[in-house]
Amino acid sequence: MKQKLVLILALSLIVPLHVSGNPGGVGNSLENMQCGGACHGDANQNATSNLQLSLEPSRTVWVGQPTEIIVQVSGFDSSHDVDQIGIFLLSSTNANNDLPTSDGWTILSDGMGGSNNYIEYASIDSNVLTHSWILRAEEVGEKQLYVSVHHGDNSGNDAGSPFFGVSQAFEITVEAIPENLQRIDPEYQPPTSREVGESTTLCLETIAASDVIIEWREPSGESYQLETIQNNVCWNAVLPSALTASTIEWRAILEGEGPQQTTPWFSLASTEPTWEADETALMLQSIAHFVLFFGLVLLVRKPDRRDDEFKAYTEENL
Amino acid sequence: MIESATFHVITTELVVGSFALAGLCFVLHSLISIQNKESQLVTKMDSTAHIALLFGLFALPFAISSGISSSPSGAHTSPLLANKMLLSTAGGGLALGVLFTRWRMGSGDSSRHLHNAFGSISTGCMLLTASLGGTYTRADSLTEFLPFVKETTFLLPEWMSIFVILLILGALIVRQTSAVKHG
Repeated sequence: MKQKLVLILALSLIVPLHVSGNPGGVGNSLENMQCGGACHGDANQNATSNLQLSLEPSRTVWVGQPTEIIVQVSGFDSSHDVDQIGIFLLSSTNANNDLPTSDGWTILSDGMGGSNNYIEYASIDSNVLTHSWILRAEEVGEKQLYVSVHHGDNSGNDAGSPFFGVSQAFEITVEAIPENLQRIDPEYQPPTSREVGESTTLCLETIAASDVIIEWREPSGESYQLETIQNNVCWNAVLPSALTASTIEWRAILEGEGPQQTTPWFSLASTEPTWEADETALMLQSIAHFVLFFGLVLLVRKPDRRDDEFKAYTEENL
Repeated sequence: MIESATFHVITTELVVGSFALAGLCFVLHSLISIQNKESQLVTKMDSTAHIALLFGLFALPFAISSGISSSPSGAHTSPLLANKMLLSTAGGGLALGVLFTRWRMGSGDSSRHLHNAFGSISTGCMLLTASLGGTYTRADSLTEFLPFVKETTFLLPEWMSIFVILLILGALIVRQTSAVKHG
């Protein structure tokens, strides 16, 4: 019997030995390099990715102003047969405290309806993948950014292994903004997501701007311009609602004393309304479940000892 | 200060480990007692199962409360999280019931297997809850073949939950009163 027990235990330990990262991904989020081991497990298990990683910042990066960081990942097909890929934007390769937000950046948009430094693509359609983040530098000076990737591979010697790749450091110079140049208020946070069927009223706070035009474009690329109305605090414009889950982009064109300024394209994702239950009903049902199953065990069980005692008592009297 | 999510990982490991051990012992207890009721292993399995279950039950409230606070939007915003909550409370109720009956009613031969079955189902609820946690955080788990648990939640209206609670409490009181009269 003991041998059988040991055999069963040994077999049960052997069964879940297949390890391959997270085939479903972990979702867009704020992640240090390697996700602290939460994405692909032990970093020593990773195979090296041959994908080429590059990063291109805007020509001039002003402090306190949104700037577009374009990341390119190339080499699909020729290097790897990839279904899903996760891309990191990092400020160092320490695997700890290496988020851009730890190095004087604010992530205004990750291009997917959030403000994360790690995003996932569920499928790759071409040899080159281009993705943009909108960041805002909080201080003047020299900075570095890195691109890193996590993915699997369906071909080659390491097929099925988790892959990891990291780029060289890309230098970015953050400059002070000229005093009278029209610009967006450094505290402005653009909206990144909304529900399908919901229009969005922009309230764009600016400094030294005499006029603002909002331009937005559909996923197909067709663009439209919106006039803005200035109120006390900001410039208002209404972005139309989306009929299906999709991402539109918008930017502001600022007029003022200086040369015309155009912001990067901000992404605005429209998602289906999220599932939501009544919180009180869920709490009550949880309590009901606890009581129901507790009671069930008690109610279906015959009170053996008491029955026996009663039986013994009646037999004695007979 | 430890974050809720980190604390949740620690407490769920305790719950899952304890319940898994308890469930294994409940199953083995039944299997061994079918073969040989007098075996010493029967007593050992019985004791181990109940002690492990008790330990898991102690850790359960911490796991549930840290789980709720580590979810940014609350359990009511995802069918998966709602099912996690319902399954863990169902498993907790079963576990408490199993321990209570073992303490108050002893280990009668006639209901041994039913008792073990309740203990094992309690373990099943906890392991499924943990698996749903894996799906939520890693989008992958060993129970991917059960999609309905991740997409569908059977929610009762508030009045029905209250009715169920009152009904069970009423039945327990009637049962207790009846037992006292007979005793």
